[in-house]
Amino acid sequence: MDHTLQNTHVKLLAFDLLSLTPTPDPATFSRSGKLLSRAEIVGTITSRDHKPSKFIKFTVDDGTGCVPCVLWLNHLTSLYLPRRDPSTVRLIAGVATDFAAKIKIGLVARVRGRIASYRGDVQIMASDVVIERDPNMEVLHWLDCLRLARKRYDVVVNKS
Amino acid sequence: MLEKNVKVLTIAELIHGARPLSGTSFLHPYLDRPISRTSSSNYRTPLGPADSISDSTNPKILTPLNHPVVLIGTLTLHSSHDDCLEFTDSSSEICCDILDFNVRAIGKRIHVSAWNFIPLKSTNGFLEIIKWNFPESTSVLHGCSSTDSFDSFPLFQSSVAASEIDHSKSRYRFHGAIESVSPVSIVPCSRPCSSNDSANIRGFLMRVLACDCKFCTAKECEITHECHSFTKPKFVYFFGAASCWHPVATKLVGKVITISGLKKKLVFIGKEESQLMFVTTENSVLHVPRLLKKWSPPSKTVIKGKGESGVYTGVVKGVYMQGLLVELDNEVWLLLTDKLRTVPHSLRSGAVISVRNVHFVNPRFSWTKILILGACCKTSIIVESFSPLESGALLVVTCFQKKFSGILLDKEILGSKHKKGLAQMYCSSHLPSSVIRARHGMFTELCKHESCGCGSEPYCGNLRLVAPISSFIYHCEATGIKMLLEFDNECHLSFKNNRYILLSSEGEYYGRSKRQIVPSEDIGIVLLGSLKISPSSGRLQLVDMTGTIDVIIPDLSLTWENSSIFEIIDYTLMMEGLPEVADRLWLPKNVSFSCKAIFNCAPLSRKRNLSTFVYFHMCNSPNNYLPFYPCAGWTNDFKELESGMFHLIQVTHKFPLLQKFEGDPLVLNRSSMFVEAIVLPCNLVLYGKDGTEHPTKVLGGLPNELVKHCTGENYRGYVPEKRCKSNYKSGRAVSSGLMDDLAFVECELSTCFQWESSKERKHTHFEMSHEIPCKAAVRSANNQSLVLPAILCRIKANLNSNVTFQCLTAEKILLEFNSESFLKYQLLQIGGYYIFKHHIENCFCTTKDSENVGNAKIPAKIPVSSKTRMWSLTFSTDEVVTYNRSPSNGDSSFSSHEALAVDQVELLLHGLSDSYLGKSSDVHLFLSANAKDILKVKLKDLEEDFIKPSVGPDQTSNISSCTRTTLNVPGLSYGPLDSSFLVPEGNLISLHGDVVAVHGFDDSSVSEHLSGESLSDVLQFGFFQELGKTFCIHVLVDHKPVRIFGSLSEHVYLIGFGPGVNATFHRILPARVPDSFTLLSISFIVVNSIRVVNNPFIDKISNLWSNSDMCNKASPDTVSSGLISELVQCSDCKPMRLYCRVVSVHVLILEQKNRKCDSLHSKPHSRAHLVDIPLACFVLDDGSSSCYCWANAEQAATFLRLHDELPQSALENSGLTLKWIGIDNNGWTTTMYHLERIVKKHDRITVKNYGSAADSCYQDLTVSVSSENVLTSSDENLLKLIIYNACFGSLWTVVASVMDLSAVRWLEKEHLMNTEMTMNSMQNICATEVYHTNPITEARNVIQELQDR
Repeated sequence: MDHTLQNTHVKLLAFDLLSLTPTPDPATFSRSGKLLSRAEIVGTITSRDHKPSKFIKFTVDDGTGCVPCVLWLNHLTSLYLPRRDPSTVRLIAGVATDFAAKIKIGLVARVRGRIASYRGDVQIMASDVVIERDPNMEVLHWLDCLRLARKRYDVVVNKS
Repeated sequence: MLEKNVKVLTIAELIHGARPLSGTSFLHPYLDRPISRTSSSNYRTPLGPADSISDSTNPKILTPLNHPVVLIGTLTLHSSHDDCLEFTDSSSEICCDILDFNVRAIGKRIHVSAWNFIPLKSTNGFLEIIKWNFPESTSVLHGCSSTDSFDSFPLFQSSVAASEIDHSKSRYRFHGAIESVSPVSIVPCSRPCSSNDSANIRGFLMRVLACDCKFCTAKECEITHECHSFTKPKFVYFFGAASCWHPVATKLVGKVITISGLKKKLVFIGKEESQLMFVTTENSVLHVPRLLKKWSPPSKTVIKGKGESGVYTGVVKGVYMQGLLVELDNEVWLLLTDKLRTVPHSLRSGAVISVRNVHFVNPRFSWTKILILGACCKTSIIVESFSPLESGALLVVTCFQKKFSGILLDKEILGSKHKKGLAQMYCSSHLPSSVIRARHGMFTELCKHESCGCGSEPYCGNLRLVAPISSFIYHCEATGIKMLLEFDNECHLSFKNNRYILLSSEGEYYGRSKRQIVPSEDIGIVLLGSLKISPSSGRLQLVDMTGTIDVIIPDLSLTWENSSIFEIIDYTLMMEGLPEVADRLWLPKNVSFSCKAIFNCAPLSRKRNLSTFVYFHMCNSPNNYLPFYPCAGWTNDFKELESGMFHLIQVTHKFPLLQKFEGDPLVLNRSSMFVEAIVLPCNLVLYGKDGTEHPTKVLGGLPNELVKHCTGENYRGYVPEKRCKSNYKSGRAVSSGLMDDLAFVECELSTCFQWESSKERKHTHFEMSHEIPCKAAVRSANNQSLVLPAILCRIKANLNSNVTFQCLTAEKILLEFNSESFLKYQLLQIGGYYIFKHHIENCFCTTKDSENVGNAKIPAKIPVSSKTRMWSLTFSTDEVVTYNRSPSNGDSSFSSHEALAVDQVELLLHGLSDSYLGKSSDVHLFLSANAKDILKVKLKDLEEDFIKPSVGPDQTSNISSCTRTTLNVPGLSYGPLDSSFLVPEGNLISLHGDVVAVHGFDDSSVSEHLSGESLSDVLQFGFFQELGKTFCIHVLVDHKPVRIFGSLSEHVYLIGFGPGVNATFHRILPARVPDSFTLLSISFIVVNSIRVVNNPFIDKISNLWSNSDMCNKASPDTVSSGLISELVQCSDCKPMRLYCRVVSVHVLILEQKNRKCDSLHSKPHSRAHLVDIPLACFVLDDGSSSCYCWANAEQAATFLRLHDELPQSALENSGLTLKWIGIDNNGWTTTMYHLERIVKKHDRITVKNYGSAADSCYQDLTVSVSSENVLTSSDENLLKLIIYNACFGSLWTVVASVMDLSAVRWLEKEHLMNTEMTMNSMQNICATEVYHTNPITEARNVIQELQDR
C-alpha cells in the first residue's frame, strides 16, 4: 500500500471521500491503493448541531455529496489529550470554540481534519474550519480536486 | 643733431646686455614720467583686447629705458636672415626690421630713436626699428640719378658706377607694380665655365604686373608719372648678389617700381614649358619713386574662404610650431608651412602684420569656427607694427609633439629627411593625394601658381582635428557642463517631484547625476593615443602625453600591443555627473574648440563634477591601427598563431581588483588580479597556411628525426605534454608514456597527411575519436582573416582510459595577472574562450601539470605576464559565418535579450551578455554542425561540473565565501534565501539587467533623506573615503525590478556605471528579501551597454516599485503551476506555483529589527516594522504532499498573517483581553502590532515545533527568548495563537523552488544552536513569493491545465 499521502490533507470531493474503503486501522482509509488519513473539503454548511463544550456536528455539501463533520469542543475535559500542555490545550479549546461560533448554515467552509468512521460512514473529524468568503473558492476547490485526482491520487505507482 | 641728454648706445652694448629692451622714450613727450604699459607700446599700439593675449600667459612688456637712447648705424642688405635687413655700426651688426621703410635708407647712416631689441639665441639678436631718421648731415642723397622723382639703387652695390658701362645686353627695363615676391631659394646649377666652384645660385623671383604702354617699353624712356595700366605679368629673377634685396622687395610688394638693366632669358620650367624672364645683371638698377605709389590689384570677388588669395592684416596672438603657425586676431590661423619661407624675426605676439597674397580657407570644422590663411610661395609678410611684448621665444609645440613627446622621439614624430614622420604619415593617410602635392620648386610654383592648385580650391571637406587628450577633455567638459546644465533647467521641476515622491524612505537617488552622449560626428575630433590601464583606478585609458581619458572598448583584442598607437574616429563620448552652479562660472564664453587650447594645452584647473569617457568598438573602424606605426607585436603574434598547439580555457569568473584603501587612493602595493578559468580538456592544434604541410613547429622534423628525439630529453620540448592517444591507429603497440608520445605524433602525422580523408572519417566518428577537425579563421591586424586547418584534440586524462569526447573532464585554474598584464585582465570576458600557446617553458603548461600530479583541489595559480600570449576564441559551424552582425552601439543595445545569431552564440551563451566576442575574437573555429553540437553539450556539462564548489569556505583566500556558483541563472531563481544577514550564504548567481537607479545609504539615518553623495562620486571621481557607504542598485531584470546592495569599493574601475547601464552582475548573493541581492567582494560587474538615462526611466522604476505588489501577483503567471509532489520529484531549480495551506510551523525566529538593512529591504512605501524574521520554516500542504517551506522575513510575515487583524477571540484566549478591549484602532489590532510589542521585550524569540507537522492542532510549540525577561504566559499564548492563526487560514499561492538539503542544514546550524529538531523526509522548498490565492484567476489556470492534458 502507498503511504505517501497519509500525512497529507487530501482534497476529495464528497462523493469520493464518502466512498473511501476502511482499513483495519480505524484512522486510515484506502483509495486506489493509497492510504489516506486526512482530508480537506470545501462546501456549503447545510446542517449544524452544536453541543457546547462537547462538539459541533455539521455537514458540508460540495455539490457531489454531503460530508458529515464533527469538531470536538471537549479539549478541557477529554481524556484523549492527557500528555499535552494544559495551556496549549486551553488555547486549542479556545480556537475550537471560535470555529464553532463561525459555523453557520449557508456559509462556505473549508474543513480540514482526520478522516474517521462513525457508525460505518466516513466523516471528518475537523481540526480547523475556515469560512471562505469568496464563493469562487468552492469552484477552485472542485478543480483542484480534479487536478489532484488526475495527477496524484489516481496515479498508480509501479513498484516493481 | 642729437639732443644733449640723449645717450647713444652701440649695438655691441645691446647685444652684450642680452635682454629685451625698448628704447621708445622718444615717442613720449614726458621723459620723466614712469612709463606705463600703454605708453610703452609703440605708437601703433598693437595690443588687442586684453583677454586675447593675456588669458593663458602673462606677456611681459619689453623693459623700456626711461631715458632717450639713440642707435646710430647703417642699414645694409647683407643680413644672414633672408627676410631681415642688417643694422651695423662700428661695434657690431644685428638683424633688423624697420617700419616706415624707405629704400633710400639702404646703405645710409641713420639715427634710430625708437626701437625694440629682442635677444635671440641663434644670432646676436634682433632690432626692431620703430622710428628713425637721417642725420641732417646726410640729408642730401647721393646715388640718386636721373630724375628727382625717383631714387635709383643699383642692385649690385659694389658697382655703383657701372650703370653707364654696358647697356647692350642688359638693356631691358620695365615699369610696374610688384605683385608678389617668392622666398629666397637656391637653384643648384653647374656652371662649367665658371671659375667659381659655387654652383648654387641664390635668388628669388618677383612677379611684376608691368605696364605695356609705349613709354614703359621704350628702352631709354624716362619714366613719367603718367597713368599706367599694370596688366602684363613679368617675372624678374633676382639672383646672386641681387638676392640680398629680398627684404626690400618684400616690403615693396604692392608698390610701383621700375627696374632697368635687365637681361631677358628663357627659363625652362620642367622639361617642356618655358617662361620668359628678366634676370638681374650687374647693371640692374632699381628705381623707386620718392613718393611710393601704392598699387592695389584689381578687386577680386568677395572672399568666400575657398582658397582665394588676398591681404590680411591682423594682430599676432601667438606663434606656434617654430613659427609655422601664427594665430592672428581671434581664430585666424596663418599657416606658414612653406619650407622655403623664413619667418621674419619681428613676427612676434603682439605685432601687427600684413600678409599679402595669402589664401583664405574657411575649413568649416565642426569643432570650431576658424579662418585659415594659407601662405604659399607668393605670400609675403610685412610687419606693420612691432610688438611691445617680450615674446621672443616661440612656443615650440605641435599637437603630435605634445601628444607623443616622451613616447616617441622627436625625429619619429616629425620625420627626418629620409623617413616620413608620424604626423606626416598620419596626414597623408587621411588626405586625398590631390591635396598633398609634391613641391615643384620655386620657379614652377610661382610661374604656374594658378595651375598648381593654389588658385584652385584646396578646401578639403570633413577635416577633423586630432586633438591632444587634455584639450579634448577640456573641450568636452565645457560642452558637457553646458549641455547638462541646460538639461537640468529643462527638467528640474518634474524631476524633483519624482524623486521625493517615490523614494521618501530610501534616501537619495543617484538619478540627479545626468549623462550626455555625444557621437563623434558632432565633435569632429579624432583621438590618437595608446592604451593603458590606469595604475590608480584600474580602468582602461587612452593616453597621450597631455592626458588620459577613460575608454570602453567592448571588442578589444587580446593581442593588443600596449605600445601601439591607434586612432579613434568613430566613437561615442559620454559625460555624466552633477554639474553645479560653480561650474557655470568656469564655463568659457565660447565652448567651441579653440586652436589656442590645443597649442597651449590648457591644464585642467580643477576636477569638475563631470566624468568623461569614450566608448567605441574596434570593429567600427577597420584601420584603427596606425598603419605606419610599427606594431612590433602584430607580426610576431600572427606568426605565433599560424601553427602550433594551444591550450583552451574558458573564463568562468573575474575577481575584482583588491584595493587597500588606507591613505592614498593610488594603490601601489596592489596585489595581483585573478581570473578563474577552466582548462578545457582539449587542445587546439593549428596547422600552417597549407593544410598538407607538416606542422613542424609542433612536432619538430620528420618522423625519423622524431624517433631520434624521442630517446632524448629534448623530445619533451617538441611534443606537447598534453598528449592525445591515437584511437584509430591503435594497432600500434603503446606501452609507455614515451610510446604514447609516439602515438600522438603519429596521430598528428596521419592527420596531416590524410587531412581530407581523415576529416571525412572523423566527421562521422568523432564521438569515438579524440579529435575534431575544424578550420580556424585567424584575425590579423587589418581585420583580414587567414583560414587555417585545425584540430581540437582531447587531452589525455590518464594513460589507460580510452576516453573520448563523450567524457571530458576539465580542471579549474586561477590566472594571476600582475600589474603589467592588467590590460589583458581587462580584456578577458567572463564566459569567453581563450587559447594559450603551448610552450614547454611556459609556466602555464608546467604549472598545470604539477597541479595534476598533486591532485589538489585548490585551483592552480598561473601567472600571466604581459608577455603571455592569449587569443580569444569563438566557435561556429562550418555553414554559418556570422560576421555581418553589426555591433549595436550604446544607444540601441539596451535590451537584455539581444538578438544574436543563434548558431554563433549558442556556445557562448554562458553568462555572455556581450555579443561582440564573436566578431572580435582573434581565432574563430568553424566546426561541423554535428561536432559543434556534441562539443556544446560537453562543454556545458563541464561547466556544470564546475558549478560545484572548488574552494572550501574555510580556505583563507578572498574567494572563500564562494561556496557554490550557479552561473547565469536566468531570471530570478534563488538559492536559499533565509540566510543570516551577517554571514551571507547561498548560491551565487549572475544577473543581467538594466540599471535604473543607484543610490546610497547613510549608516546613521534610516528614514531621513540622505546626503546626496551619489555613487557616481565614488565611482567616477575616486572619493575613496566614501567607500564605507552601502549602495543600492536598482536593476530591471526581464522587466522585473531587483535590488542589489553592497559596497562598490571593489568595483571602482567600472567606467560609466550608473543608471542607464546594461550590466551583468556576476556572483552576487541572493539576500533574504526577495528580489534583493548582495554584492560580495568577489562579485564582478560587467557593463554591457550604456545609454542616456532620463526622467521617464526614473518614473518607470518608481512605478515598478510602488506597484510591486501588483507585480508580484502578476508575474507568477509565467511560473508554471504544480504540485508539491511534483516538486519532490523534479530536480531542476525551476520555480513552481503552488496552492497550499500552512499546516504547521517548523521553526520561527523573531527578532527586533535594529539595523538599517531593514529599511533597505522593505518596500519604499510600506511602514518599517520592528519585527525581523531571519528564519522561518513552515509546513505546507497542497493536497498532494507536504513540504518544508523556508521563507524570508516578508514572506514569513505573510504566512503568519501578521498584517491581518488578530481575531478578537485570539486576544481573549491569550488572556490579554482586559488590556486591549475597546481599542478598535486598526493599527493596533493587527497581529504585527502585538508581535512587535512582544519582540521588543525579548530581542530574539525562537519558536520550534516538536509536535506534529501534519496536524495544526497537534503542534508542540516551544517558545524561547534570548532576553533575561521572562516571557509572560499571555505573550507566549499570543505567540502560539499567532501561529495557530497562521495555520487555520485559507489558501496561499506560493512561488517556490526546491532547496538544497545542505543549505537547509546550514540554515539550521547557523540559526539554531541545538539541532535536536527532527525533520521529516519532506522536500524543502524556498518561497520567493507568497500571496492570497485569487480563486478566479487560479481556477482559470487549473481549467486550462486540465484542458491541456
